[in-house]
Amino acid sequence: MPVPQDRKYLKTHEWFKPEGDLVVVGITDHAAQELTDITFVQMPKVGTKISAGQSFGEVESVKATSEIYSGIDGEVVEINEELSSNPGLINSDAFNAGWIIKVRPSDTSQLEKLLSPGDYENFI
Amino acid sequence: MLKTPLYQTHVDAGARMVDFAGWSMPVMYTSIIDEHNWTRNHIGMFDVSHMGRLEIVGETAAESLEYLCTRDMVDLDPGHTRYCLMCNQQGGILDDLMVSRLADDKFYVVCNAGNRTKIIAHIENYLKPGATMTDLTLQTAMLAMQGPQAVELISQLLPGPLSQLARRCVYVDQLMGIEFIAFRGGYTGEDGYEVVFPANVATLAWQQLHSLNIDGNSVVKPIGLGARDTLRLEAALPLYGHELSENIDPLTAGLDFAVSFEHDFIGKETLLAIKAAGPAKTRVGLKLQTRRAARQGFGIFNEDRKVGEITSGGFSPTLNTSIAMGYIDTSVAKIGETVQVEIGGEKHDAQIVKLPFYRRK
Repeated sequence: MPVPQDRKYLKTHEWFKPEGDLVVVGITDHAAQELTDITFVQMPKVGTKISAGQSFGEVESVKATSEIYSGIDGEVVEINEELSSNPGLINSDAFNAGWIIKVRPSDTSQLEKLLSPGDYENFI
Repeated sequence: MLKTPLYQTHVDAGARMVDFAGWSMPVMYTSIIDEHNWTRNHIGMFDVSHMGRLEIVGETAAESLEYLCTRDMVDLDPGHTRYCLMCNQQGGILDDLMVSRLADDKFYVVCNAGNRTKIIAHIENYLKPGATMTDLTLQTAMLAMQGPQAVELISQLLPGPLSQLARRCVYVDQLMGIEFIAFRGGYTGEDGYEVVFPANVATLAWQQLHSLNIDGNSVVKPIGLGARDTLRLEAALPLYGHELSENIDPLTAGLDFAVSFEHDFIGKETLLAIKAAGPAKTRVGLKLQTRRAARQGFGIFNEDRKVGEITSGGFSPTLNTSIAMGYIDTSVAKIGETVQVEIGGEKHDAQIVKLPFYRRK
């Protein structure tokens, strides 16, 4: 299944989609399928500063716990509250309804350094 | 890496295969939670061929096993099965096993895959002259059919003794000339059977059982080890390497029912001393307020004092919250009390609850 073309990716399977002056962040469908049924998402609080290359949360499945990494610096302005009661949204719709956080980036040029959709597809 | 006779069947079905105790086993086919729920409502079919299957034969088989096991075996009636433990001299658990008596001089032992080599050596050490052991693991396959519809389905397939088989009983018969051994019971908290076949008919048996239906409805689905683990956790069934190990004795593990002091057995002296003093630690069930998994090794606290550790834990599909088992100081192991589990640097409240978490209706 082709990955959405309107965003950038990390090798650790996160996606970063520009939306106005914000960036929406989630994990890819490939990652969600690998993790299997997601049972819990540990999200940062609104206002948290996150940095490129650093973990900002965790995704837990029945099998395992995985860190979620950021590809950009910025401040968390919104989290997907829906995931607290229904983390399976990531399994069913990783690229849309299963988004995790929205970030106000401190440097939008950082997005350009991330993997293109084609590079990410080649990687997986 | 060892492969069960059903390895290719699992791969063809799209299962995700993992290494488990040296065997390549299916961890899931579609979704661990869906497979879990299917087993709770219909019938889950599991390949458990990785488990060790040993036949012990001879006029001294019963007395040999009686000394090896924490329960009496001499008075076990043919056709019956007993869950028991084998311990070392210090009372530490070497393995938990199902021991069945097929005939006066013939026993069938099912042990954990990861302990098979150790248990074979241990049994050989203590077999009395006149008894011999054969490892049948690689020449047989074992399937488990588990779920509320399992008995109804099997009754349709094989009306007669199998549908009448009582729990903790074993039945040996032939089907189209092929010998099979069926046990009533399982490891999911559901009713059902575990059936042993010769390895060369395993695929056929799997396909036949998979295609069975009730009133035209497909009721059997293959289930992986992932759901087997969440099912047994809800049923509070201990797992070797988690709740059970050589550092844990049967009384601490809360398996008093599987220890009889009426006979002589390895580890008896130590267990009598532990029984007299009372175990310092106790196995408890914990129900958390979060969906976060409390995994093996996580600390359990009572007002900042560490009182124990988690042995198994995870999200319970039936209870829709996180559950766990672990060992804590007996002095604080009271049903209804709240303790804390440290997960990722945060302490989460957990209530000590009565086990099992799930009991079938």
